[in-house]
Amino acid sequence: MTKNVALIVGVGPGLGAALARRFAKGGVTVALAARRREQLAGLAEEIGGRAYACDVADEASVEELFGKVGRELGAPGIVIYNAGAYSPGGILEISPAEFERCWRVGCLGGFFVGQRAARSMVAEGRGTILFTGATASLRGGVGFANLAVGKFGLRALAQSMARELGPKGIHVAHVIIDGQIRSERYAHLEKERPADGLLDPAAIADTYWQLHTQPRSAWTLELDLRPWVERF
Amino acid sequence: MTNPELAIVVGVGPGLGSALVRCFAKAGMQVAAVARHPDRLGGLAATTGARPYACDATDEASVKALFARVGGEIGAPALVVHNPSHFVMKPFLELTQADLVEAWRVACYGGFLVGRQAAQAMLPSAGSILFTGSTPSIKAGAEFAAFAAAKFGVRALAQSMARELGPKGIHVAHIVVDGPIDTPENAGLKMPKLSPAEIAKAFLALHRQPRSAWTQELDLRPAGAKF
Repeated sequence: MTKNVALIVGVGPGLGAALARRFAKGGVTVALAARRREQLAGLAEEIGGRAYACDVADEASVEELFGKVGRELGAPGIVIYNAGAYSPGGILEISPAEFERCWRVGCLGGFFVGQRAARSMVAEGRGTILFTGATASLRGGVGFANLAVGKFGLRALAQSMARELGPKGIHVAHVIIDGQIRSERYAHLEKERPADGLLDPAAIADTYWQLHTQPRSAWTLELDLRPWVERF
Repeated sequence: MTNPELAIVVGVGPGLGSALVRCFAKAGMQVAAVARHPDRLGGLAATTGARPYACDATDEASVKALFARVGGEIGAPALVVHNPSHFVMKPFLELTQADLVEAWRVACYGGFLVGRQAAQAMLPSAGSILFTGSTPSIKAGAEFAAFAAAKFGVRALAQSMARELGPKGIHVAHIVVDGPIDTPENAGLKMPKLSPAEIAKAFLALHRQPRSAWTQELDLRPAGAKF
């Protein structure tokens, strides 16, 4: 029997890398995709996975990614959309070009990846598609228009896909990450907070794995995740 | 060796409550199975090693006595589940005050009494408090005014508790079971149903989440469900 393949789209050093490690630990062959493939080499080697370049905002690039993964590893039974783009700015400052770019990466890319993933999964009658959401999936905060518009849209996409694809055996779920993920960027915040005060990427990845392994008699469409001390 | 964790399941009937007791016992926890009529729990206690307790979860003295007894006989709980509900489905014009009050007492008032006692028993240490919700927790359908008003209220209670108790180390979560559970009483329903054993696994997974990434709410439904 061939191993199941997980395709993780949008792999940086934080959550994407933790997801790759968690799914590899679960016995799944992992395909990693990012804008720049060379950034993924070390991680791919560490987990015995493969790295691919993809621009999620470009339909042809997404098509090419799925084609390559299918030929080299097999059609993925798990696809995670973890890509996002955000440049903070007040509504009077953000440029239309930046507004559009953030939406294309945040939402349109999710559609390209989700639709392409669903095509091969529908034929199999099974599969898992997971979307990474954020606080901005539910709340358009000050300076967050660029991010929130794409994230609201991605949530709507996930809901709509879940309702249509669930009865076809495909589990679609949306994870609202309501807080900062522990990283070098937030090292200063980590010092100000009590222990476990920021989201541990490995703990988030465990929850994605649990969603993937849920039996179909009890599927979750949406859950939120935040550190114990987070104000919300 | 440390003692196994204690789980208190309040509202153990033949469906989800029993599945929760089985799941927690199988995971190595000690379980207190609480019902208004615990004489019906003999079989479950025998097969799982759970201890049955009697409690009217809508009566303050009874809830206090329950936690005192369990505390004295077993210890402090690491996990408390509030599972009771009083189902009402009636055309709006036929609803009585008694329907509203009874649905609210079982869901909200009982949830408050159990939640408060659970938090008191857990502090200053950590623990999980889980509330069983259902479709009417988030969607009030026709003829569901009494039941949905009660279930919305439990959701509000859980949200408020989570915001206050999270920073004190207590994980409060609300589970929206969005569909009929596969129980003998739902045997006649011709629609996809949730397996109680699988729902129970989701409760256990919530309890085991590390505090750096806690879920406050999740939904559960069968693959073929329309929603």
